[in-house]
Amino acid sequence: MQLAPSRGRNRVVDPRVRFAIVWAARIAVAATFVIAATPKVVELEAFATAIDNYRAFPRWSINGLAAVVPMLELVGAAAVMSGRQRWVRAGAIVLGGLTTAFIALVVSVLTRGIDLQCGCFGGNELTELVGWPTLVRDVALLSAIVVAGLETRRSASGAPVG
Amino acid sequence: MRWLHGLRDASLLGASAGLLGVISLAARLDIPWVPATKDEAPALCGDDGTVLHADPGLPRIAVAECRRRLESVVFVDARSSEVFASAHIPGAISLPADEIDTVLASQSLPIPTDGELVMYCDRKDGGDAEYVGRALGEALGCQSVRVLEGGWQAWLDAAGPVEGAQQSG
Repeated sequence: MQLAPSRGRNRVVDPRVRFAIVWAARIAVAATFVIAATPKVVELEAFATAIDNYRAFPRWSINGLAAVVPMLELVGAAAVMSGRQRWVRAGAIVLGGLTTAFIALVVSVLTRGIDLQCGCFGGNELTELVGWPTLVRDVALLSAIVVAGLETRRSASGAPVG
Repeated sequence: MRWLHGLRDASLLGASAGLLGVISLAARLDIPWVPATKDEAPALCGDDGTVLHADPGLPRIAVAECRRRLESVVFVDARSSEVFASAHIPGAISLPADEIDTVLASQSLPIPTDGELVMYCDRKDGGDAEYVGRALGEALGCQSVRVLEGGWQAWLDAAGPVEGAQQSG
């Protein structure tokens, strides 16, 4: 699948394959964040409690975080799905920053040995506890966000595609 | 350079999300937000009029985690004796929040000081469980005291096993 060098860099992935992979990543990332944000917006109170349980933020900031985080997720997801490279990149930066913060929180919880519900998909979930699987999932999500932020401007024929 | 522009655009997105968040908050001002301040955290399960303020500082443990470790943790029920007799988590020890000082002063309790204690009460924010947990920590030197997240109602919602006069699971 190795193609001819372009602008001094070796292209190792067929543009069509790259296009498909990048868009698959965008759809997966956007869907994940929309699914995660919806219950948080609906059950703001439960999400605020979930954030508070992390014992990582001052109490005065909890309600503000509970309101802003799901909005960042929704706005970031919409930007990633916009197809405009400028906004895709901005959305990837927003979602990447959020996910990096989530990873830092999970590491802090694992380090402190606290058992608590993740709150990743709203505050009412009863099953998912913060643990190594949460960390692995967040790292995988961050990888998908990096892929989603890549450009898809040229198809195999060199014509603009997105 | 493109990523610098990306950062600028990301800031715009962040500002938009912040604005939406403020609107969202403004629309929910009537909601009694759960993360109450210490002064707002009331205390007792019973209706005897006594108010003891609990400092919500003990670590939480989720219902799912408790159910996985049912055999290895000791549950302490901070609700009233009557409610405890009606239904409680199997094996739980009754230590009503409004009687804890008397009970600790008058009895030696079969509570392992080096084991893992999980406190629960009727309150979703665990105010009474916090209070009893702290009292046990101070009086007996219990090493590991946690509060069941969501309290008794969360246990019932998760269909956790129950024993007592009104056994339901």
